[in-house]
Amino acid sequence: MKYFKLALLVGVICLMSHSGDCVFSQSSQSSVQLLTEPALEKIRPLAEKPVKFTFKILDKTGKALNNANIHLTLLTPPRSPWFSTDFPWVEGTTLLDISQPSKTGELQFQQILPIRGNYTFKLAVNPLIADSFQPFQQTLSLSVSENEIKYRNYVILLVLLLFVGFGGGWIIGAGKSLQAGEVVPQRVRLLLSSAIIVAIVTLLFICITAEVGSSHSEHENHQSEISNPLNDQGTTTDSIIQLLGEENATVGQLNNFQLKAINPQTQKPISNLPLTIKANQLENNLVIFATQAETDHQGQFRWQQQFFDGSPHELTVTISPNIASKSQPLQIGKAIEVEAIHPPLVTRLISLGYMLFTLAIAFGLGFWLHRLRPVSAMKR
Amino acid sequence: MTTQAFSNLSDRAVRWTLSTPVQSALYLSLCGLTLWTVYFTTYPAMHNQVHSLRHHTLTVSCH
Repeated sequence: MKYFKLALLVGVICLMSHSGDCVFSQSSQSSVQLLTEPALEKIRPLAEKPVKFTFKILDKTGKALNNANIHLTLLTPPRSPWFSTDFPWVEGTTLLDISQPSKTGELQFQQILPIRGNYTFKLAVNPLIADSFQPFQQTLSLSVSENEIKYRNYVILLVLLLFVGFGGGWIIGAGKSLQAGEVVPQRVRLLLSSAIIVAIVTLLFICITAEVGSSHSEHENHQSEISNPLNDQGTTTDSIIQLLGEENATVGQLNNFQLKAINPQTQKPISNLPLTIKANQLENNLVIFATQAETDHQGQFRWQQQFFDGSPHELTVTISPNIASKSQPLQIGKAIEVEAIHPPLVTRLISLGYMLFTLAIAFGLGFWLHRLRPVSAMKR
Repeated sequence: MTTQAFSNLSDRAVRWTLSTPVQSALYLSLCGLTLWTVYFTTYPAMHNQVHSLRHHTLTVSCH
């Protein structure tokens, strides 16, 4: 009897562990296939065009699973303060959270990926028709390489720093060779004067061009605000559409948006209304996010998205009319003001430290090589 | 006596100011100031002016 109880206990533990495996094995049977345009290896951060993502839900035989609700959370690469990306506040955050019922078992959207690194897609798939398949979850990751031009520019900068550092060290290293009546060698005075002139010219150039540039951009911004006002509510003969959500966003934080559609005559929600959602960054006229969706049985569509660039944006929703309806497509939207947060001081100091370290190493090298030169000459 | 002490102090100040370590520090500081201004300052007018350069240089972050 004692052995029977022990065997029973072991059996229950095995069963429990097996049921845990079942969820995993189920997820390994039904799976999500990710297709991108451009191809995975060609995706670069902050490209001119957004990446087109297609997630296909497949059963164990590789056939598409229809009538699925797909919930996707897109997480950005983890924080890397020692090797900063373009947007440090975007690192380790959620970029997008979207849930969409799909009759074809596909989820499609376009999204600009702002930084390099490993993105994580967390998917939860549930059947729209009860028990048509087992719900499952899957996590996919996507590695995005840095733009090659950034490496090229950094190499140019490093070479310049090595040259400036070595040259400075070489000239200051000759400090002992004073002419009669000199306190500081003429070459050192010339070097320091040149460095001062470069610093002053840099400051002056940036200040003057910035003043001119800012007055132009202010003028352009005002013009665009006046010429293109957006309404977050629209009405057609058979529908009232309302876009809800905050008009102020902060880099690194998710914003909630909701679209509601009701019939003005019956006051009932309109389901399966086709929507085209697009988020534009106005500064560079860049589409940062776009998708096509439909309202659910409550006449709603909700999503959360992050605006990664601290500049003015515009969110537009185009509602296509039903085939039976004769009404024109309706466009509503919101102007989104995204608050820019400056990169952390520590991150900037680390990056400056790398540059100064390179400069100092080259300086020390130039300095000591010049100091050693007469000694080696004397030996000869 | 006072004049001679002042003269000595002045000479020492000049020697220290124009010494090699101070010259080196001055040179590196000036280069550092230029780098900070171009790549890292957050003063909006300056930041906007070099925005593209910052986005095209490795390890340089933006807002």
